[in-house]
Amino acid sequence: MCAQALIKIKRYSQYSSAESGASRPEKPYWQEFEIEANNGATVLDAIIMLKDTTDASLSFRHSCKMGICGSCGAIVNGKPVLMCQTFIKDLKQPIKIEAMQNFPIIKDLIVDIDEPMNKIRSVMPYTKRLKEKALEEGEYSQSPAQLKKIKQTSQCIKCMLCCSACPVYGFDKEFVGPMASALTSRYMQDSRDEAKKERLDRVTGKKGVWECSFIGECSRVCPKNVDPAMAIQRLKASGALRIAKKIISKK
Amino acid sequence: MNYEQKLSKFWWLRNANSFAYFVRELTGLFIVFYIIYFLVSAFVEDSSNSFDFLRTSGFKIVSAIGFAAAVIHTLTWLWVMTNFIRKEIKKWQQILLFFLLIGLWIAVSFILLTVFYAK
Repeated sequence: MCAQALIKIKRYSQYSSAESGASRPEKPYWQEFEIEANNGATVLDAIIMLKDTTDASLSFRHSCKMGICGSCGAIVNGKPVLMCQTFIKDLKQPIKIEAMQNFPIIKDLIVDIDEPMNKIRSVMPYTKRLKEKALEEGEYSQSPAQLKKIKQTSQCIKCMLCCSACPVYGFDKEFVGPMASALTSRYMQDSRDEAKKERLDRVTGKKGVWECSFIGECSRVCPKNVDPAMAIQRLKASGALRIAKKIISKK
Repeated sequence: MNYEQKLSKFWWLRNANSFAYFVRELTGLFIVFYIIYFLVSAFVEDSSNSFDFLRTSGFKIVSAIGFAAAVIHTLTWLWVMTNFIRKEIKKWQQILLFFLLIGLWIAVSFILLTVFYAK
């Protein structure tokens, strides 16, 4: 069964239209579309249809269409969501779609994600051993209990909805952010990792986890229930203990 | 050139969770104001140590505002504490835990008042 849906998309293009002679506005602007959506259509289905049938210049990221890749993050009716996991029938109309907040807009719904990706790289998102064992000695095994510790934070798909929702990150782009913090917590709890102190020092320094005010928006919008807010509080506790140990050992 | 988005100063109005956070932080200011008012009244203006300022209507108003702010501040932090649970719990379980924490807070307050402060 199909139903009419009114969609408003916030457009932006930094390039002028050479063919029409018209230059694009400098600020983002709203454009309205009407579509016929079937009962099971997602927001992503709708904008793919719009791109195919109405406006080929509409730009957005997407890939898996099943909530695994994390590419299709956007603000839909004021909430950061994955467009492939958000159904048209569940939304109040007109459906307003805009690019994720807290990031520079490249075009339409595509944002510049270099900064948060650099933050991920800065927290060493891989297990690090002080000394690697020889191949003949076999693999680094984990018990089910050890695996359970990292399971929740391992679910992160780097969709950046948490960074989009975080007001602290919105005001201060140097803040390490919930995504990198959750990733740090994941490797801190990994039994195979031996660089915990180095990793902790990286996120408890200037512009680290101490900037977090525990607003909780990051955990509220996370589509994978990673709970970055909890991860940050754990890092704060670990960081505080480390500082205390340093002071005591100096005495 | 990419378009730089600026976060609105009224970001705390965009949903209930952000508004609750803002209220939580704002109540801290009222508590600080009460403490400063009390300290100035007690140590600067009340040189005779008679504590007559406690009976003034001005102090009563400031105390009422400070008390309300302290209660709201405590309630919002008790709610935040329910988010510290590592296990995934349902909404009704979170609400139940919240009321249990309030009960614990009242019990501790009662013990403090009757055992340590009562004469």
